[in-house]
Amino acid sequence: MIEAYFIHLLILIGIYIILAISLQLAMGFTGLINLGHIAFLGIGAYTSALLALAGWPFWIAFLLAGLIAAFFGFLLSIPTHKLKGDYLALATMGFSFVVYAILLNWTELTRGPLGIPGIPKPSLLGFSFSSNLSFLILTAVITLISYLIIKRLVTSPFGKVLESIRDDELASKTIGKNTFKSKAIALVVSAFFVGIAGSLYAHYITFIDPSSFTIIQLIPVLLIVIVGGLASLEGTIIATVVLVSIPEMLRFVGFPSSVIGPARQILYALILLLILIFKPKGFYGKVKL
Amino acid sequence: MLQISNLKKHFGGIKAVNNVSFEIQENKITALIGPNGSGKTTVFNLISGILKADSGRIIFNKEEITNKKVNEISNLGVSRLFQQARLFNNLTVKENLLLAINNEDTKFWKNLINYKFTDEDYKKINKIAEVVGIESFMNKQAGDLSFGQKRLVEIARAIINPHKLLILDEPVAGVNPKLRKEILLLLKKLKEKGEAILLIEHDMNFTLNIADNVIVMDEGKVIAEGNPKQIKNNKNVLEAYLGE
Amino acid sequence: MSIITQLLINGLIAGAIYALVASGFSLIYSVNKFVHFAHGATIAFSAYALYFLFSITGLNFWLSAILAVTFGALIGLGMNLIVYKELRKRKASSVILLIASFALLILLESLVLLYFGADVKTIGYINVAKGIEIFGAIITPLQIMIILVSLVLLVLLFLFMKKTKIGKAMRAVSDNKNVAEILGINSEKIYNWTFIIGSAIAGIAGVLIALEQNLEPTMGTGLIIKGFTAAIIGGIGSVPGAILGAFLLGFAENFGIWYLPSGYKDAIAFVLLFLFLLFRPNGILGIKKGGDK
Repeated sequence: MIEAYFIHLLILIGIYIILAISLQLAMGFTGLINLGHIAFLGIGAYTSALLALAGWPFWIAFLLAGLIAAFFGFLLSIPTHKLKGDYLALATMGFSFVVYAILLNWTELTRGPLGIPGIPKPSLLGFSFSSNLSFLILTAVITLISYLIIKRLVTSPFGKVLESIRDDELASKTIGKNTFKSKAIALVVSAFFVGIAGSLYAHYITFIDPSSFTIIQLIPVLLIVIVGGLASLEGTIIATVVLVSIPEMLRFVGFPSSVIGPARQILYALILLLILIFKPKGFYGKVKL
Repeated sequence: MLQISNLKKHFGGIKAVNNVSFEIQENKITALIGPNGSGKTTVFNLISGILKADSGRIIFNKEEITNKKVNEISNLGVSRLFQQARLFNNLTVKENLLLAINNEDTKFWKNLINYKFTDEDYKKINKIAEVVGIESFMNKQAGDLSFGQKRLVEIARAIINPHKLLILDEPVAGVNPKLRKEILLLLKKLKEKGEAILLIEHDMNFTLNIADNVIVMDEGKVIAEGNPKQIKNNKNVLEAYLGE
Repeated sequence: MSIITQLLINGLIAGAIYALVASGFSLIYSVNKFVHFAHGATIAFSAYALYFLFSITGLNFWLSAILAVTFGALIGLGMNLIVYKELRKRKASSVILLIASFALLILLESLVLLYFGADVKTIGYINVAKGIEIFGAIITPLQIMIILVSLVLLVLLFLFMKKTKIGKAMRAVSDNKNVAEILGINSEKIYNWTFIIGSAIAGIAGVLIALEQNLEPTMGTGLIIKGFTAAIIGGIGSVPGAILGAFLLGFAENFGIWYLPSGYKDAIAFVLLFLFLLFRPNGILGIKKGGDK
């Protein structure tokens, strides 16, 4: 029983790590305050769920979830490339709401508020990841690969280009960098990984509805990124483990589930405020927004 | 190598740059001077593409660069130093300099697969760091440097950025006299190496000491042009400065 | 004909509510220079305060309403003193303040959810009165009152900004904080006042909305999105612009759902928000203020 619960927690942590390190890529490294991050999760989850239910093999649905989310990342990067700070935050938030409204209202495709039940567990080369333990292994492998790719990217010279844009975009342009292209790449790669995280989420929970992809779901991810410290991948991973586990304590203390939902949000929002006030660089970060 | 003709830029009713024409030659230091608000920095912003010109043309090495993008102009060979500090504060001095070397670092797939700076790249930045005198703090965060140190790093970054023309906006403003002298010597050294430099400077002594050619602006217009000696004795220039 | 009139009236009612939300939000933005999302939570808190005092405790309605509005003003002031002031002391950027306000919004909404539960609440003070017919369109007395109260409030706000000492000081800080401080204006004090006044307007909006619609814990998020969309349409940081934007948004939504499925009503606001941010970030009044570096 405890063991099953532990596996469940680890799967959640894996999915959150992908979500958080991809937000780090956009926000911590490139300085793009993307409040539309969760929209890509929804796009990935719905893409993968619908394709799998239409009979497509898991791995194709999984990759397309990433690619279609990446495509939307590209679309978002074009009109927003001149926006900064508050304005970028508001525009990306608007994007998030538009995606949510479409998921909710395009009922022919998404079944609207009813959601999509019965999403199949993934299977690969005849092996089905239907047990939680096997799903955990799948999640761990994908999380590790995502981490390695993002790590490689941010430690390469290209990562420094992204950081130069975060610190001073105009100065980056004056030394010849095409910052429009670099920002677009950062957003596309970030969206790709959120998309595959969405696919994992959909096939793990096996049910999705639009309410899982509202802006409120961004709070824990944003919190993880800020607690871990902007532009710190290791800090982000530690923060994910700690912050995803903490509210689970509430469950053990014996709160009813109607209390756990809001209590979790309250806890996250409070920690976020305290961190912003008392430790704005997070625990492992060096960068201040 | 740089020809500016009939350049105009208005902000609302203010004619910041009003029909400005001048030319810059290779292997020379040209100084752009004038009282505050005379439009010098606006001219710089037009050359480097930060602002769009209302009318007029800017030709660089026989190519029209009017209204090209900032990064395109930089890549055609115009390297700019800003008046305010514009370093990448969360990166080290070394990283600041490496970024300026070339644009291989913006190639996504190449970087993802395997791209590292070469020994040659490091040699290049170390050499310039030595010339500018910043080698002792190459591994410090740019944001932690003093004002003078930042200035030097920015000058080094502008020199490393591949260019045919350096445009420097007040390279010695706010810098102590000792460092001022060092920068003066450095610019002379660069000129001997065949660099073309266009600079804005308020310090008249500094300017007249270093420039081969001086262009004076006032209220958005060029009011005088000539060698330092001619400028010193020009009536219009004296009026513009005294009337300030 | 009657459909057009009805859509006009519906647009007017929606616009009046949005104008109350947007004017307080915009007032706070123009002086404090950051996006105060938690303004939405202030509205929800006042609405629930009215529900608690009037429907549960059984207090006199007018007393409950006054207390609810006061409560809103205090919540706003509290957020400024406890969170924003501390962040300003530490030289936090406007982006950090925005994230903090987002956290505050979620915090306060979750508190409401925890205490009152997720189910929809109704005040039920004014029994659903028979609508009055105007040119074939229906409008209830409460709706007329909403429009009137909002118009009166907006005029009062305008006079306050133009005539009173505090109003003038607010405009001075909004124009240039440093110059205002040199002139002897205590900017922290002015920040407090903008939160008190902006949040009191939010409180009134909360009370009116509580009478007209159902209460839900997340009502504040929906309203603040409309509020800042209106503010951006009109030109963020300009209170008259925000009011103009609010009515335009009200009309756009109500005429829009004549063509689109009604589920897309909210999406209309987001699409407008997006379009304005991209193509006309200074709003229709085109006032250039901050943000557009």
